[in-house]
Amino acid sequence: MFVNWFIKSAQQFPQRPAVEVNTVQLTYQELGLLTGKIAQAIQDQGIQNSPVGLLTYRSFSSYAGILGIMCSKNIYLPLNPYFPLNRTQKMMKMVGCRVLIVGHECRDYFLRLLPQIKVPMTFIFPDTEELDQISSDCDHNFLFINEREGAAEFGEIGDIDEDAIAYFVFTSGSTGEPKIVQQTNKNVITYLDYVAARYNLDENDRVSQTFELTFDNSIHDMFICWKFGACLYCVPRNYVMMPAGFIKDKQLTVWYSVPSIGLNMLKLNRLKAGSLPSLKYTLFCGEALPKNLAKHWAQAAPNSAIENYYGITETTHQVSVYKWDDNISEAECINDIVSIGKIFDGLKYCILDENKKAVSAGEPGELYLAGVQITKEYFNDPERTKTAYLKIPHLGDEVWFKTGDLVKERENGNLNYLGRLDNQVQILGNRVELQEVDCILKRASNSEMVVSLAWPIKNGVAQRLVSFIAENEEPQKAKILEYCRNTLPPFMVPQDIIFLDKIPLNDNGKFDKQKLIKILEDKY
Amino acid sequence: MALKIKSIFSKAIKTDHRDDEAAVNVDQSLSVEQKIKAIMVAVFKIDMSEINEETSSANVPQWTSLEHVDFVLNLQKEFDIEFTDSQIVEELLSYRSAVQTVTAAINGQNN
Repeated sequence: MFVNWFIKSAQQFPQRPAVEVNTVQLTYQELGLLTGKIAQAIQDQGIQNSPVGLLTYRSFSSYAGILGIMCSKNIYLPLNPYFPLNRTQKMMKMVGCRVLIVGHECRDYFLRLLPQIKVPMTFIFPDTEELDQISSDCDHNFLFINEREGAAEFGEIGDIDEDAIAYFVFTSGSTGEPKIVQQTNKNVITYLDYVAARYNLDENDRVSQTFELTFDNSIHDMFICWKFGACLYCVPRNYVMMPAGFIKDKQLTVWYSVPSIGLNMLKLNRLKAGSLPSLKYTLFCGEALPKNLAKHWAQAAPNSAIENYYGITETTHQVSVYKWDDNISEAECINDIVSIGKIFDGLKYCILDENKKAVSAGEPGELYLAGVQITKEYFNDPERTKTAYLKIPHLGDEVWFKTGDLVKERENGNLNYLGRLDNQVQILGNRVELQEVDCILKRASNSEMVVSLAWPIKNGVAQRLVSFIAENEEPQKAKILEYCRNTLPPFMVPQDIIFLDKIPLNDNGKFDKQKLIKILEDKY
Repeated sequence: MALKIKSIFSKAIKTDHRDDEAAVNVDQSLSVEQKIKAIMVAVFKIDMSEINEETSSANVPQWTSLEHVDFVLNLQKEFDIEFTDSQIVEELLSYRSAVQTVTAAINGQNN
């Protein structure tokens, strides 16, 4: 169980720093004690294998909360105070969450959320002394664990149920309802074991933590770091978009983020040759990695390996990796996008056409994956499980996950990512089903003629969403955008809405994307 | 059937090859304040009349991290200055602060 990686390091390096948040560090021992308090408070509720919500933001409570939930053998549900209240409330309701950990940084958000919670719950406050202004009709239980004397010592956790769910991740769904991916302990440890073996780290390393906890790659940040007794550096929200100074000040040795962050640095001339010498490893994931970024990063961080990971939430983090090599990698790019490398040993994959027949060698096709790391179903969602997790008759009894990603395999086994086969896009590494956005826009505008695009796409990376609406009026724009902000996570809210008399259609009667792009080019 | 995948493949190439730059053309006769407002209008897609001393990333929902980078990039190009990381992430987050930071940088260059 991967939480034991932290516990072992806490025993071996109790006085070493485990995590830094806003220039304050906690040692492994201190983080372990806070973890123990939280785990004990959860255990006192008499629950196991139950979802525990985590409403925190880039704080010590975030890290101790995740560890505490895992030590208590429950399922963690990461929440985000930058998501609309409706969405957060819905997420808790969909998985039946009855216990919620609330960090002091989310106090105001919590007070606004509380009136929407209509079932009795236990709220655990790891670092809040007390709360006034609590008003609720429900019979809630409020636990302020600062008041607790001492803390349970947690040794290594035994009797782990490998098939138990470790955490829930919500992803965009084309029907307007999010999908819930459930990653089991076995899924996660299989992934972490595989990637941990790739890195030569120790207790002196300094590892970035850029991902939001609602983005499952945050698990990689934390546990790869803590396995080696290294220190995790929580990158402050503002600095995530422009982290060059942070990397230099903290002398980080490992950087892991979506390529968009690197592209920001490149745009603003922050990748000068030799400017990031402390880095040993740079990892990118979540979006296509532009060649241009890899080349500039290699010059800025001459001591760093650069790795491009590919994976999907349903496959439990990453399933393939490519190590950038100045001498040969450029030739292995397609469309100026870096190869995603070879599928991990131990995973099965195949590249199929629409009839689920294998494509000829080197031809593009859809990637399917199977193996212990791959999740088996969506939570409480047999319909959507059926369409994504399939048996393929000529490939035996195995269940394969249909990625929706178009890839091509080179002779040497390296894969190139070519694009999506559906309407899914990535915004800052977050999956967005354009139909989910359209669905919300239709509700907000009462128009059926709605279409959203990712635009512009710079260096192969989608910048933002823009939507078109027909049969409606410009004055509705503010109201429609307001509805979106109250319903969708920030990365799914269109940056702009353009009102047209009619949405242009192509000869097949479908929305004419090229004409819509032309409208955008003319406007901006 | 392979045709369909190939046609999607060719579409993927087309869309992935777009490479726009978000450069804003600003009238050179404008004052520093007016130039900054013009950039904000173009980048954040807000009306000039909506911009006042209190306008900031906290009250303009479109002022996301991506737009902020475009905003900073345009300021740098327009005024030929290079901001520090802390200016970018701590100071340029409102109209008032952007005017102060840019003015100070211009004055620093002139001295």
